[in-house]
Amino acid sequence: MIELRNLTKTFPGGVRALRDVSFSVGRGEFVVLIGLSGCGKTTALKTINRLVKPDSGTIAIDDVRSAEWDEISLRRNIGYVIQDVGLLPHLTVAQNVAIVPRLRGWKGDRIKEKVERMLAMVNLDPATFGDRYPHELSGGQQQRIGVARALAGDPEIVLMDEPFGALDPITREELQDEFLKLQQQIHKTIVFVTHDIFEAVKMGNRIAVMKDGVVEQIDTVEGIIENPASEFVRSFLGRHRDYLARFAEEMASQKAQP
Amino acid sequence: MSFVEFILSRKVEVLSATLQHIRLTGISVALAVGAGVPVGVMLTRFPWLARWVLGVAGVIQTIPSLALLGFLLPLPLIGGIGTTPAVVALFLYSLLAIIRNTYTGIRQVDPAIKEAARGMGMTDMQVLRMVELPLSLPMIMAGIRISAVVCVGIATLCAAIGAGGLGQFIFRGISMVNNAMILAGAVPAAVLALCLDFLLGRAEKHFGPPTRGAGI
Repeated sequence: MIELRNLTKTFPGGVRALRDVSFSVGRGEFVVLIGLSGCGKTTALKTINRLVKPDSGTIAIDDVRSAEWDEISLRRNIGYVIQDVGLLPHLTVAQNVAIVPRLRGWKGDRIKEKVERMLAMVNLDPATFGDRYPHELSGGQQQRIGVARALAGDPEIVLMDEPFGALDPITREELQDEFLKLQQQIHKTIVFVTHDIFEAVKMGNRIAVMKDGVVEQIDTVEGIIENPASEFVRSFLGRHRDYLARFAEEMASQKAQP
Repeated sequence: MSFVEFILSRKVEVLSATLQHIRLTGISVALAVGAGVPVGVMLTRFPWLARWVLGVAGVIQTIPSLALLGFLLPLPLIGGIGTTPAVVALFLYSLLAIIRNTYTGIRQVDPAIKEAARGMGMTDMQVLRMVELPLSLPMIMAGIRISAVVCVGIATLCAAIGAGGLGQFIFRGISMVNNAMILAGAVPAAVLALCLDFLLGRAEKHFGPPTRGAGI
């Protein structure tokens, strides 16, 4: 379980990214942070793996304050997927997926087996793709590797920062569907950032709507759609509320329950 | 006597001067790589230092080479005549390109890749070793190539302070108004510069990251 309490963060230059952010994510839960650009959602996400240090407030993971963790081993235990994928261009696909297991000091055979399993899991044939370089792959294939890499170290928690945001609509939907199916098997604790309400409704168990460094509302997908707590949340749902309600109902059966 | 005949008649002398030349250049550039790459890396960690360090290295570059050799003459330990001051001068001339290219190369690594690397739990040293250095290697190697080629040229001047090398033929040729003798120094030096550039280029391709644009 992840618990964020009263986080504040002002960046040099005076941008107040987090004013007072508190929320928690249960084990196996899929929480989506949504908001306009600049609302602090990515900053909030990065406080969890400590790429951003909050000015005040605390983060606890399984009741241990994150500040007590060693930063490096904390990150090795948290999967991280970003929009730009961030594959290392000078390493092959297999070497990229092997990074965290290598950092964690696993042995060669175990890494090799893990890499093959991870690639198969994201529907890429290890024999075909293992030795290729990232630039030889399409955007969708690269992000599949990104997901495989994030999961390779067997993390409990996976942080995803607009992971499918840069993909074309068809590929995006494909990867969303695959990831939902995957989550039904692996039951990771996931914090997922997006600005797309459809994606949020599709993927999440709960949605946290952020505005100007504050969580305006955090509730189940149905709760957000049925009882938006503020004008802002209502405007985020826009004119599609009825459609989103039906969509949410349709998706509910396909999601892993925490 | 033509230049070819001259070289053939003094082939042992030319060969030993060439080897001396390679030694001077090699030692200087190796020292400059050993110092310049770590300094370049350090500048990426303390960017406020970059202006000053690159500025100083740039100023050294503007000192005429003969003048620098002259300045070194009265200095104890690193100065005087012979190999030591020559290596010191060549080292100083090599530094700028290596420091600057290391610094720029590492700064040009995609921030998204660096952040992904840190997010996966790499330490600062691991980010440097596994991400930043390999990805900036082409740039660093380009700096080393520039330095090596420049050094081969400047090393000819080091004959003036008794460090030997191919410059001996050039200086002697000038004072004796003997073109063949001048060429016996100049031509091997030029060939040496081209060879070094070619070899370092090959090394760069061999050790560097895979070239982009092969696939999609």
